[in-house]
Parts: sequence; structure tokens; C-alpha cells
Amino acid sequence: MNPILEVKNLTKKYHDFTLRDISLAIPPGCVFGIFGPTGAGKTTLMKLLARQIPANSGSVRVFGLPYDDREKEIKNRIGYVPQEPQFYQDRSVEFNARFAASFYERWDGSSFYRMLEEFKVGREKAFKRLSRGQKTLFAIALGLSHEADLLILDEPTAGLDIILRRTILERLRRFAAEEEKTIIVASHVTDGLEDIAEYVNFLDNGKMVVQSERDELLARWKRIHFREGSLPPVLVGQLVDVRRQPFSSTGLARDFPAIREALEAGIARGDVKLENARLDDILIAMHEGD
Amino acid sequence: MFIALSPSNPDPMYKQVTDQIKNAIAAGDLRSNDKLPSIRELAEALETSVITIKRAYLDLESEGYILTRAGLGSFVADVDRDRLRQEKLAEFKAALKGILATGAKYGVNADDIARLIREIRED
Amino acid sequence: MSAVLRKSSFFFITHLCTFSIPPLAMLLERRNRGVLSVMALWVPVWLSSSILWSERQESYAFLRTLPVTDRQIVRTKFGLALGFAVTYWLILFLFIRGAWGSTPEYSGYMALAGLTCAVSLVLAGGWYIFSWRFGPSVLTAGVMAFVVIGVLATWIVDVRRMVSIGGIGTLAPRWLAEGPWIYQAVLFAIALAAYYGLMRLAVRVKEESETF
Repeated sequence: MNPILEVKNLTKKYHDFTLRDISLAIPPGCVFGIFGPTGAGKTTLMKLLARQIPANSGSVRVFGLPYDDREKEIKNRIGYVPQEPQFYQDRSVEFNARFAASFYERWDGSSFYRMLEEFKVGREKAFKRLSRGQKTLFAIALGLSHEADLLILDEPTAGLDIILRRTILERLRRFAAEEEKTIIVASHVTDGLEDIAEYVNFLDNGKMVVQSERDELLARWKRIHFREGSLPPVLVGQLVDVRRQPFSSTGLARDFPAIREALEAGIARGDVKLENARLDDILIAMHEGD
Repeated sequence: MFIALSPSNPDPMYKQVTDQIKNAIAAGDLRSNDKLPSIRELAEALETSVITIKRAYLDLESEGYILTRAGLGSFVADVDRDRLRQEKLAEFKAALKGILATGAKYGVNADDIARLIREIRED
Repeated sequence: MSAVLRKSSFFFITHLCTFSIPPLAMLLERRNRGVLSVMALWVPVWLSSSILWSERQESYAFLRTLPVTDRQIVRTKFGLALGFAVTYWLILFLFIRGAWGSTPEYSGYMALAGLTCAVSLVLAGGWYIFSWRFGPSVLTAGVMAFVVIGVLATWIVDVRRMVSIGGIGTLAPRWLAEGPWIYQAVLFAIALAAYYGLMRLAVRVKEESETF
């Protein structure tokens, strides 16, 4: 299947930061997560994917089309939800909605206003009076109301309470579950997006350090708790982030399937316990591995 | 059929799906030629990704548990009861091995385990 | 695009009215035809101010998310300023014609009107580029400075005195005022060409800009 978004050797230079040589091929119908620490370049990457800023070099193709001459066509079919949604602050929600609607070829007003009601965002309210969560919900509703095939979001759940977070995650998950709808989302690993992302990518200091299916990644990385001395040193040497505590030692295995057999004896004896690795553990291990 | 995925289970998601479908077949919840939910339906129902279910169905098919017919969906293959029984026995054997290995630490041996089994039967 | 057009033209219309109605009132009440040169001299002021106010409230970050290209936005904005400059020139033409008919004073005032409209047009293009390159806050400083200097310069040259005595050609160069109309037509053509050039440059500047 053709990727819905394809990036080749994308580079963006700022005077104090560079996004280097990013290449991606995003399949349609998935939730594509891009995670990383603050300052890794996630927002810059999202802006490049949604053509909010120009790149220095490299190419971005959406639906197989280049932005250079098909920008309008592409933007008709995608929705972009930035970290700080920008609209006409002094005007009402209604005004902003009608303004945006006038640009789209296919606009579903009834669906949009239903979503606003569901999200409890008042139509008459001046945009600047909305809370951060409501602004994000407005932007998401906008993104979902013009029959977009692709949604690009930048930290949609950051700083929101758990109930609002759940609402947004549920909405996004439902959107992606529909036929061929794709979501690209940049986030911190603990903001809930990691649960719905099918692909997990780690961006660190402007470079992509991990690109994997989430289940694959979680199958390869495991946390091992073991009794000190119960594992051969060569095996312990293969673990990362090894910590020795009074009653147990623990470490992250990067390639669990390869050492699984060697661990079986220990597991049977009860000297070794297995646990799923958390994505933030993996990200930190990769970060410190530089 | 009852399937529940657990993120804290060390087995990968796709394996949890395959295992639980196999169990359903072995227990008779799914019979030969029963139609399985579509990949998309099951992914939605389990709130997991389509990729996971695709992988699970592929594995089940390569192991001969299900058949996929283009355009029609996936169906439970002709159930070989005997083979299923053998596989369950192998599972129990591995589990018992583990029990025996642990038991060795506490001075519990195979005879003790056999006695426990008899006691259970008499209850 | 019409949404952007509507939103921006609001400022042009209000500025046009604010700067035209008082002098027109003076014209009609006290029959002081000299205020028409004030109206002509004020074109750069209200056109620049319109641009300032419409740019300040604009949200390019919002527009970048919508299916509209920078090229379209630039064309719309430049078209708007052009439209208003030309319309205003026509308004001035009608009033000047009405005030002086075909007397020699008429050509002096028309020369002034043509000159200021041409200059304002090119200035407008410059302001847009300035705004997209440096941002609305720098634009504010620029336009404010321009308006202040413009008012001061007007005072220093003591325009008021000259207007009240109905001086012709004292503000527009004699060769332009007394030459054939073709001179003004060429002037306008040059201004238009420069404006078009500025628009092409503006598209590049806008495309390179990280949104304000």
C-alpha cells in the first residue's frame, strides 16, 4: 500500500537547533506516534509535515503529492492541530468556525457543531476566553469536520486533566479506526498517546533514533528483575539501565527474544521475573545511550 | 469467545490474541467453520491496533488453526481435537516443570506433587 | 479568499471614511476647495494605517492551517490595497473635477492626487513586505514613525497656509501639473510595475516567513 505521507531526508536548520535528515513512510489507516523529550524537534517536525513552515532540504509528499504545487489540495484533505491553536482570538468560536469553513471544499457543519456541544465549547464565546483544553477540542473538531483523511496533531493532551485527555484520546482512536483514516501525533510518552499509537518513533535532539511498530518494540524490550548473581555476567552485560537494589537487580533487555532461552532456567527457579518495559524507560535508555 | 488483552502480560499483544483464540477453539467456544470477526472488528472490539490482529490471524493461519478466504473472511479450520489435546498437554508439562523446579527449593519433589494431585481428586 | 478580503477591507473602509469625511464636510460647508489637496496628501497616511491595522489583527498561523496558499494571500492583500488606491483616486478625480472644472487649478490638483496615489501604492507594497519579514510589532513602529514624520513634515512645509491660499502646482511639480496627461499615465504605469514587482518579492518573503 502506498504511504499516505512520505518524507525523504528532511532537514530544518535553526540557529540553535537542527532537525536532521528525517525519513518516514507512513502507511494509511494507522496511528503514527512521534515521541521524544522536550526540545527534540517534535513541533518542528509536525509543522514541516503540515507545511506550516518551509524545509531547508528534503521532500514531503502527502497522498503522493508534493506541497510545492499542490498545497491547497493537500490542506483540504488534512487537519492540523497545533500545540497552541491559533485563531482570531478576539472573535467568537462561531466566527472562527465559519471563517475556516469558507475555505474547505467539503464542510460538515452539523457534525462540527454536534462535536462542539459534545465537548461543551460555547459557540458565542470569544476564542481567547476558552481554556487550553477547549481550544484544543475546537481545533480537533475543526480538523474532523471537513472529511480529512489525515490528522496531524502536536501534543494534543499536554497539560490536560485526565477526563479531557480520555475524551480526546477516544475521539482520535475512533477517527483512526474508520476506514483509511490516519493520525500522526507528536507527544510525550506519558500523555496517553502511546496507548493508541500503532507505530512508535523516538525523536531525540533532531534525529530519529527509533522507528518501530509499538508491539514489536515492546516485544523486543523487556524489564528483567533478577536475583544478584543468578544471571551470567555476559547476559547482564547485555542489559541497559542496570540498577542494583538491596533486594533485587533490574535491567532492560534490548533484544529479549535473543536471550529468552537463557532466562528460562532462572524464571523456573523463581530467580528471574519478567515485566513489560515502559515506553518512557525505553526512550530514556535510548537517550542516555547517546 | 472471551478475549481480554492485558498490557501487563509479558507476552506480546498478538500472542495474547493467538493464545486466547486457540484456547477458545480447544474449549469448544469456537467450532470448525465458525466465522471469526473481521480484523477491523476485532481490533476495534479489543481497542488495539489492526496490525496486532493481522499478525495474530496470520500466525493462526500458518499454524493451521484458521483459514482465510479472500473477500469472505477468516474461519476456524477443521479442528483436530487430538492435536489440541496434545498441545494442551505440552503446555501443562511445561508448567509442571516450572512447579517442580520451584518446588526443589522448598524440598518438594515429584512424589509430593503426585500426592497433591491424588488429594485434589478425592476432594 | 473572500473571507480574508472581507476581514481586511473593514479596516480600509473605516480608515478611508475617517480621513475623508471631515475634509469633505469642510469642503461642502465652507466651500474650501483647498482641502482636496489635504485629502490627496493624506492618502499615504490612511492607506499605511489601514495596512497596519489589518495586519495586526491577522492570524497567519491560522491561515497556514487552511487550504490557501501564501501566493493567494499575498495577491488578495495587494489587490485590496490597489483597489482602494485606485478607487480613492477616482473619488478625488470626481471631487476635483467638480470643484474646478477645466480650469488650470484642476490639473495641479490632479497631478498631486496622481502623485500621492502612486507613491502610496508603492509604499503599501513596501509595508506588506516589511510586515511579513519583520512582524507586526516592527510594522507598528514603522508605520507610526511614518505617520508622525508625515504629519510633522506637513506642518513644517506649512501646507495649511498654502492650501488656504489655494496654491496650485506648489505641491505637485510644475512639469507634471502642466505637462500633458500622458506624463501622469506613465507615472501610474511605473508605479503599477513597481507594485507588481513588489508583489512578486512579497510572495517569496511570505513563503519564507515562519508564521507570526
